[in-house]
Order: sequence, then C-alpha cells, then structure tokens
Amino acid sequence: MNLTIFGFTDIVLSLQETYLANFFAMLITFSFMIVTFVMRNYNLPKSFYAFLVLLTSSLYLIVYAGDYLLFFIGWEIMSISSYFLLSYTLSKEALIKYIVFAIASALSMFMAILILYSQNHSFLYADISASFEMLNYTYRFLFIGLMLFAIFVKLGVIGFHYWLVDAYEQSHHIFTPFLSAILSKMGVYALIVLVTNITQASFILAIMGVLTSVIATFKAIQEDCVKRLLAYSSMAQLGYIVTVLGVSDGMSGALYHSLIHTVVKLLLFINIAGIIYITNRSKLSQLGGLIYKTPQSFVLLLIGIIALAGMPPLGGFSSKFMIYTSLLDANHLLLLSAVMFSSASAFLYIYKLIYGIYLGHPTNKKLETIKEVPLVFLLPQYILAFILIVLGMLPALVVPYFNKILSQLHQGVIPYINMQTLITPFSQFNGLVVIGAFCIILVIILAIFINIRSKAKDVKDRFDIAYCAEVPTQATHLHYGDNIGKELKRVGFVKVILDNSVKYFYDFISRQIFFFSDFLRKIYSGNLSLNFNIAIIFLIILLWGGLR
Amino acid sequence: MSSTLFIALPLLFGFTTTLLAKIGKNTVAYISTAMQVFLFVLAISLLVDTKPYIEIISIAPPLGISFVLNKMSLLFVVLFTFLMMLFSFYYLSYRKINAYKNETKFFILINMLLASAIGLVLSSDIFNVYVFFEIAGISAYILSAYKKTSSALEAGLKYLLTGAIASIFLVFAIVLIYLNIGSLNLAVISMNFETLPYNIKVLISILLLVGFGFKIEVFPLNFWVSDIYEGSTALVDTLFSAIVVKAYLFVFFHILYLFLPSGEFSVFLIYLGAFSMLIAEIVALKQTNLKRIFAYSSLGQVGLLITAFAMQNSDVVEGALFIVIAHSIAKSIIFLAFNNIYQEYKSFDITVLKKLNAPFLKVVMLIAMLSLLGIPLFAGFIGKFLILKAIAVDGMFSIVAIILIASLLEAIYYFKLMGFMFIKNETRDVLKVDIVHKVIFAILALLLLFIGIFPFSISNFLLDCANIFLDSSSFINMLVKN
Repeated sequence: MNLTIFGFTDIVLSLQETYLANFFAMLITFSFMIVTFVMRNYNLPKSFYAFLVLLTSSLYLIVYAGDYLLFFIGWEIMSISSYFLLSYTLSKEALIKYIVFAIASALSMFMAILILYSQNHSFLYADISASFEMLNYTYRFLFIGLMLFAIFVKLGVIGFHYWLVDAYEQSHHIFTPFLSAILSKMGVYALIVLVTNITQASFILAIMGVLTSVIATFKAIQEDCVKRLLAYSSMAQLGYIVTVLGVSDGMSGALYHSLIHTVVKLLLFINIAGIIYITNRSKLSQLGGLIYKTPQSFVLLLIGIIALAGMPPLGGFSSKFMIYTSLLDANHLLLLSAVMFSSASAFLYIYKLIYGIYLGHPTNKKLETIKEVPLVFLLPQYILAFILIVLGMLPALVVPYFNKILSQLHQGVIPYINMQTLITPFSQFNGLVVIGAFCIILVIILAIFINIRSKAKDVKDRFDIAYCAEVPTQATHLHYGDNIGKELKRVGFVKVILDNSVKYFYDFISRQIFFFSDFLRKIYSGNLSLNFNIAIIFLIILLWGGLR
Repeated sequence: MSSTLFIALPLLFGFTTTLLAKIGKNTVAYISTAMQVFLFVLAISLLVDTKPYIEIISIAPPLGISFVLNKMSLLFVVLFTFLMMLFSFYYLSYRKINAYKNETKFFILINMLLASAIGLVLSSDIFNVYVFFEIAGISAYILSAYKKTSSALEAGLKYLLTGAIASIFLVFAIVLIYLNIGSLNLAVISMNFETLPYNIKVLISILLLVGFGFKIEVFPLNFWVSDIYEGSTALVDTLFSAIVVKAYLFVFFHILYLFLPSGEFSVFLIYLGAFSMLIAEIVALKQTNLKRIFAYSSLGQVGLLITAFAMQNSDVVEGALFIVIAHSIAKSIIFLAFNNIYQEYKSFDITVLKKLNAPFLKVVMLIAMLSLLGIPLFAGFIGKFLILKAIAVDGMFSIVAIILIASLLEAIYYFKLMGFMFIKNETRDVLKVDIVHKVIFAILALLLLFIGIFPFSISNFLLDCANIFLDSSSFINMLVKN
C-alpha cells in the first residue's frame, strides 16, 4: 500500500505486509502478550504503560514500513521511548551511554538513507538496489558503513555494545525481556532488509558476527551478575544470526534462530525476574541452592538453557543445526569452527547460570526461607517451555511458514520431509527420534540417580561435612557457582579478550570532545575585546578572500 | 492599509502610553494586550487571501517608504503577533505576582520590539530596514538591562556595544549602495546590483554580512549572545529567541536573495552556518547555566537556519520555515517555563532541574526539547528532515554530516537535562503554575505536536511562502509597478 502524503508530493511513503513483516510482528505481539502476564505483579507508574504502548507501536511501524523513511521514524521513536522506559531504573551514566548510542545509531541510519535517496529520489525498499547501483564507490562504502553502524549498535555487535550490558543489567526486570527478545530483533529485521537488497556487506557481517559470538561468550563466562551474563549471552546469540546472514543461504537459519532466541530469552529473563522478585538478589555469588525452594523455576530454567545451548532434544537444536548446515554448505569451515567453538564455550556460562542460582549451597540464611516464585511468573514460562519442547519434537512445524517468507525474499527454502524431520544435503534430523532417545536416556539416568540417592544420607546442616580435612565456618564460601570461569584468564587469548574493552576507546573520544568544548568555552567567555578582535580577523579574512 | 497598521499601532501605543498610564494602573497592560490580540486577528484574517502579494504600499517612491506584505512576510507577522499575544497574556497573569518596576516602560519596549520586528519583515527599502534595525536594537538593549542587576547591566552594555558596531557596518554598506546606485529601494538596488564593479559588490556583501552577522548570530560574531541571554531575565530571552533573531534572519536573507541570487557567497554561508551550528553545540556541552545552554542551542538552530536559507532552494526553505516555527514555539515554552521555575527556585543552575517538582512544566519542556532535537512526531523533525533531504539531493553530504554530528552533540546535553528532570523529588511542594500559564504552555506544546504529526496541514502554505521568498524577480516587478 503506497501512501502519498499531500503537500509532500515528492515523498512517497508505503506500508507493506509481507510474510517477513508478519513474522516479526508476530514475535512482537507474542512477547508483549507474554510479558504482560508478569507486569501486574509490579507496581508500575502509569507513564510506564504509556511509553510501552508507544514503543510497541513504533515496533509495528518498523516491521510494516515499506520504505526507509517510515522505518527510520519507527527506529527513532523506538530509541526514544525505550529511553523513557529505561530512565525509571537506569543510573545516570548508563542512561546517557544508552541514549548517545541510540541517537548516533538513528542519525547514522538517517545519513545512510539520505545517501540512498539522493540518487533515485525514493525511500521505497523496492528501489534500494537500483539506487545503490547508481552510487559511486565512496558512497556505496559510506552507505554500507553507516547502515551497519546503526544496526550493529542496536544488535550489540562487538565494539558497538558499550551501552548494552549496563542497560540490560539496570533496566526494569520486566523490560529486560523486551530489550533482548524484541528490540534486538529489530536490528535483525533491518539487517535482513539490507542483505536481501544489497549483498556487498556479507563479508563484514560474517566476520563481525563470529567475533561477537566468541568474545561475548567469554565475557559472559566471567560475569557474576545474572542479567549481565544473559546480556552477553544475548549478544553472542545475535552474533550467530549476524554471521549466518553474511553467508549465502543463511536466511533460514537466521529466521529460525530469531524465533528460538526470542522464546528462550523471554523464558530466561522472566525466570530471572522471578528469582530476583523473591530473593531481591541478582548476583550469582549471593544465590545458590534454590532448587529445593523453587523446583518449578529450576525445571523451566533447565529447559530454557538446554534450548539456549542448542543441545538436541529441544527447539534450540533445530536452529543451531540450520546455522551449522548453512555454514557448512557455503564451505565457510573457519566460520563454522569458530561458531562451534563459541557454542561449546557457551556451555560454561550456561552451566554457571543454573549452578549459581539453583544448585550448590545457599550462600545466605535468608535463601532458606523463601517460597516458590508466584504463579504469574511461572505461567508464561510454561507456555514458552511448551513451545520449545514442541519445536524440539516437530522441528519442521514452522518451516512451511518460513518457506513462504524465504520464497518471498527469493532465498532458498528449507527442505523437510514431514513435521518431525528436517533434511539437509548432509544428513537428516528427526525430532521425534531424538527426543525419544533423549527420554530413554533420561529415564535410565534418573533410575540410576534415584537408586544412588536412596542409599545416600541427607546432610542436615550444610556445615556438617566434618569428615573432610577442614571444618567450614559460617564465613566459608561453599558456593562454587560464581567461580566458574575464574581461571579462564590463564588462557592467553582469553586474557586479551577479557582485559581489553571498548570502554577505553569511547572514553578517549568523549574526553577529546569535552576538552575541545572546554577550550571553546574559554573563547566564549564574554570577553568583549577578544570577541571584537576575532570579529576583525573574520572581517580581514573575508576581505582578503573576497577582493582577490 | 493593514500592513501599516502592524507597525503603526504598536508605535502609536508607545507614544500614547504616558497618557494612558494616567488613567489607571492597569490600563496600559490591558490596552496593550487588547491591541496585540487585534493585530493577531488582523494577521489571521489576511491569511484568507490567496494572492501571493497581498499589499504593497509606497509612500513617495522611489526614495520614500515602501512596505510589501506577501505570503512570506505575512507568515512571519502571524508568528510574531501570535507569540507576542501569548507573551502578553503570560505577563498579564505574571504581573499579579511579580510585576516589573516601571511597567509602563516595559510595555512601551515590548511594543517597540514588536513594531520593529514586523517593520524589518515588511519594509522593502534598505534605509527603513536600517531604521527598524536600530529601533529593535535599542529596545532590546534596554530590555536586557531592565532588571538593573549587575549582570543585567553588563548584558545590556555588551548588547549595546555589539549592536553599535553592527550598525556601523550596516550604515557603511548602505552608504556604499546609495553612492553607487543612487537609490535605497530594494527593487531598484536589486536590478542594478549586477552592474556594479566586482570589488564594490564584494565589499557591500561583506559589510552586510558583518553588520547583520552580529544580529543573526553567525559563528565568529556570536560571542556576545550567551552573555545577553544569561544576564537578561528569562521573560525577555523569550522575545530575543523567538522573535528578534527570526526578524533579522528574514531581512538578511531577503536582501541576500535580492542582491546575490546565487554564487560563491551562498556556498560560503552554507558552510559558515553548518560550522556555526557545530561550534555552538560543542560549547553547549560543558555549560552549567540553563539559560546559557539554551542560548547556545539557539545559536545551533540559527546556524542550521542560515545553512538552509543559504541553499536558496524552495524545499530547503520550506524546511527552514518549519524550523523557524518550531524553534520559536519551543524556545517560548522553554524560557517561559524557566521564568516560572525561577520564581520559586531563584536559580538558573542546571541542578535546579534535579530539585524541580513540577510535573506539568516538565512535560511541556520535554515536548519542547524533543522538538528542538528533531525527534519524529514533533515539529522540529519535519524541518530538519526537509532540510537534510534537499541538501542530500544536492549532493552536499559533508554539510549533512556536520549537521548530523551537531545534532548528536545536541542530543547529549538535552538528554542530560532530561535525565535530571526525571529524578523524582518530592522534598519541595509541587510548583504552582497559574492556570493562564498552563493554558499557554498547553497551546504551544500542542501546536508542536500538531505540526509534527500533521505537517501536511501547513506544508503547502509554507512551500508557497518559500517560493515567493525565493522569487526575487516577481518581487521586483510588483514593487516597480507600484
């Protein structure tokens, strides 16, 4: 549908309904619905809801826009309304970091679309590739650079993620799921629009994506704060999507992983929100041993992290499977090994997450008196877990729909035999068989466990382990969950990754700007004689320049 | 006849004030406000006219006075009378609590300011421009020193000195023009300007640039601005930022379009404006006084306007007109709100915003700031977008980049201020805002939103205005015919 706005005859705006837009709109609606469940538990100010509605409408505008202008307007409103949503809880420093990056992202996107517009006088998506062909090489380079900067900031690609972790950590517990599940997906959507029209950027995408996933994974392993850990994990997961979008035929994996990541991150963040709600702690070193108190939460988190890790029985595997396949298919073996490496390293932080919260010893007496998380937190998690299990059993359930999207975007479709079997040039993957095998193994392990368990003796007091060489006291730290990854720095390149930060770079830039500002402020001090001298110099320069 | 009314009525009011003051205490205030309402209604009623040139009045041509009221100048007249009317209403309710001493003088001065601003916009001979330039200047000097505190006097003196220097350059330019062409009528000068020797042309344009440069606050000549804003009361800053600068900008570019339709000089101005914006935004980053911050923000916006007007392209000028309207309205909101805040908190330090407990004022200030920043849904965005789009079509991406970088810096300190405003502070009582003030703020803020969401409601009109503004040949024809 094209809208011609009166008065601006040269600007044609358009709204379009494609399968891709519908898919992302569905993700938005779904996440909004899920999070609303939890919202009533908090005493939120009315304006919060107003900004949330504004945010959601801007997200719909982004996905249903048929031209870059409406897209940009949606993008900017999204940034501003999430600024207001973040402003309730963020510290001043984190808030300013967020908004500077958000505005920089919006403005660089604006510049990019203006470069494109200058050729064809059109903002429509349909004209992107034609306009791009008309640009000369400098401007092509500039366009891709600016557009990728805008998108990378939103996605939190490494180097552009300076705002992200703090914003995730300090945002309101029911807004964090939005940040991770939906706002970052808008970056994915923008990237898909870009790569379907312009293919020149793919190499950068692949490299940056892999770097992000590897580095963010190691950063996540180091983290003690649960929400920061999940923020890095979110970056890493989006890194896979960016990588796979840089590979030919990677769209299918990207779409599938977007779906899985949305569901998983909603599940995990709501779970964490529940834990923080009952314990008021968000550090792994202050949690622990909650499995006895909140068994349902434990099982739900377990389902979530199995999907996050991309391990077989659940939905997460299908998307990882497709990512690996498309990398293998395109003969990007180096990328594949890097993705696999980071995917394997991810087990460390995933284990750290579940161990730190639910296993081991409680670190505090207070943790022994809490009760299960309220039902409003659990209900949405059950829905999400159910989706993950269903997608694990029937991985091709959503594939017909994805194929519609892919054929509309002129991309290769996903081959499948029936609802439970995905097929690739290399192998087949049957969800039902896998989950059946998994269940059998699980039953066997459980049987063994219960057998051993029945012989074991329950320790009444957690300090009652005097048969060891030393006797722990109250002060002894018996919870080892938060120590996972502490020794990682001994590995040379991991130390390099962990010790260096983009912080120094951005601090340097802001220092320079403020120094310059200070310098100019001294000239603008209101000293009239200095100012008249400058005026006279200006006049002389003008005369010298004019009267050649 | 109506165009003379716009100038004559406020001037006449100025002369009769002393008599009126004898009748009763409040007579001056009420009559002044009633007159401004009348002027606004008159201006609005003229909008119905669809002809581009509504009225041309020449008294004793070619050397005498002549006024041209076309769509473009009418737009400015509507804007000025509208803002002045709201300002008067604001002051009417404000004076009950905290009236200026010697109110009669204050009313004379603001009416002189209005008359001279409208005079600058309407007059079409260069000597008249100079006369109104001086009247506007003099009333502005006195207004900025009105409070007679040391900082106000300093501001008034600085304003006076810079204004005097500016008028020296302007007079020099006028003298050169008259010596070489023998006429002061803009149309006659414009027809003969091409025939002048190159050096004289350059000299005249440089003198005009420096003369007006002080007043339109272009980069190396704008060092005095922040001091004036800081020293004057917030009430007066409203007029400076919303009315005076806009009138000077109009007349400068009016003359530029007539004398030098295109050429190197415009390119120079484009870069100068963009640079002016960038510098102003950089300086604003480290300021701690609210009035100074918004003075620099004004400099930034004016820099953008200079770039836009100098492009001499109807699309850009249309965008610039959007910015003119949005900026005048937004700055009125900001400075009037500061005036309210100052009554209670007695400070313009940035930390006042932290202590502030005034939800209504915070919301309207937020809307004004978002509009100034050029965020979609607010009026400022439309202007910025149209300007940048047309500059990009011209292929001047370096200008686009400078403006966008400046916008980013602007965003940094605006969002810093907004961050302060979000801090909830209930140690003080909610700041009482008079109901009249609330209505005024609401009208202004809703206008910003309305223009931002329905820009096409006025874009056709503004495009017409821009075309008339740029079409100097028809201006000359109309004037010569008369």
